[in-house]
Amino acid sequence: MPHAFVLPVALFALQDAQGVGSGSGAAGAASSSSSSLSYEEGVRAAIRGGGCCASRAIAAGACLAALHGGEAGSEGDNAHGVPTAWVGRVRDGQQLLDVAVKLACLR
Amino acid sequence: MLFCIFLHAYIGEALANAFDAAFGTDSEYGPIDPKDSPKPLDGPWRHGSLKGFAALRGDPKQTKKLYPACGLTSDSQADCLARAVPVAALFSGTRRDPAAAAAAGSQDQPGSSSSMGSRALSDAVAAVTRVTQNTDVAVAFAQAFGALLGEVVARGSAPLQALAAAEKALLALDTRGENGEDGDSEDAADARESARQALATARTLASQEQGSGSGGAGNDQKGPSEPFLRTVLSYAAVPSLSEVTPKPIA
Repeated sequence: MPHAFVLPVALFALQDAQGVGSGSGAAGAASSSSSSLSYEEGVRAAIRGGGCCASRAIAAGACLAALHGGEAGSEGDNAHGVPTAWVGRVRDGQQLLDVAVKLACLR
Repeated sequence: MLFCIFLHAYIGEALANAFDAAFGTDSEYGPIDPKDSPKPLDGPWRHGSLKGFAALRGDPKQTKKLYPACGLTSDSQADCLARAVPVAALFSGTRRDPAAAAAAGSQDQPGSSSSMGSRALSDAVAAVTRVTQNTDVAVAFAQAFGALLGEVVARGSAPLQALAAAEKALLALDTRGENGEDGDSEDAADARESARQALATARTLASQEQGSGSGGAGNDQKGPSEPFLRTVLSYAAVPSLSEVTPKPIA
C-alpha cells in the first residue's frame, strides 16, 4: 500500500512547487500557473506508474480536482480542471458531478 | 461513543446494501469473473476489493456477512482511497472560501491541526472503508487521504501545507486512548504510522524537487522533472520507503 499511496500524493504535493499556492482551494483555478499539472496530466502520470493504477488515478484526480476546481470550462477558462470530454465519456458523468456538488453542500 | 459505534454500523450496513445492489453478483456486473478470464473484460469492471466483497457477501453457501464482516480481512490495496473521496466532500464541503474559513476562527486556517471535525471525518472514513476492506492498513491510508483532501477542500490549504496537516491529524488519532476514550489496537497505530510516513515521503520528494529548482514557480517547464517522475514512479513498484528519509513535521 505505501508505494501505491506515495505516487498520487507526491504528484499532488509537487503542485506547491509549481505555482498553486495557499488559499487556492476548489475555486482557485485561476491561481494555477501554466507549469502546474492539470487534472488530465496528473491522472495520466498516475496511470503510467502501472500496478494498481485505477485507485491511484482516482486519488490523483481527486486531489487535483480539489486544487484546481471542477470541470474544465465550468469556472471560466479552467484548463487544469476535469476535461469536459472525459465527463462526456463516463456513463452518467454529468449526473455524478452534480451528485458530488450536492454532497459537498449537504453540511 | 456507543451512539457513534451504532451509527457507523448502521451506515456501514446501509453502504454494504447499496454496494450489493450496484455491484453484487445479482447486479448488472454479474457473477465474479475468474482470475484467468481473458482481458479486457467483455462488460463492466469491478476493482479488487469490490469483487472480494461481492464474492463474500453473495456466497449462497454462507450466511450473509453483515458489516463489518463483509469486508475482506486481507485486503489493503489502494482501493480504499476511493472510499475516502465522497466522505471528504461531505465533511469538508462547506468552507471552500479561505476568507470564510478565516472568519470562522483560527481552527480552520489553512494547515491548522486536527479538530473535532477532522476526527469525525476520520471515523466516517474508517466506517466506509471497512465495508469492503476490513484491515487496519486500508483504514489508516484512507484516513490519511481523507484528511489530506479535507484540508484542501475545507481550508484551501496549499498541497505541502495539507500534507503536514494530514500527518498531524493522524498523530492526533493516536491520543484517543490517553484521554479516557476508547483506544484502538497496536496494529492500527502501526498502520497509521506507516501512512504518516508515506505522507512524509511524498512531502520530502516534492520538497526535494522544489529545492532542485526543477519544478519551481516561474519555471516554464511543464510538469515534474524526469528525475522526480522516475523516483516517484519507482514507488509504484518498490514497496520499500527506506530510500527517502521523511523530514519532521514543521
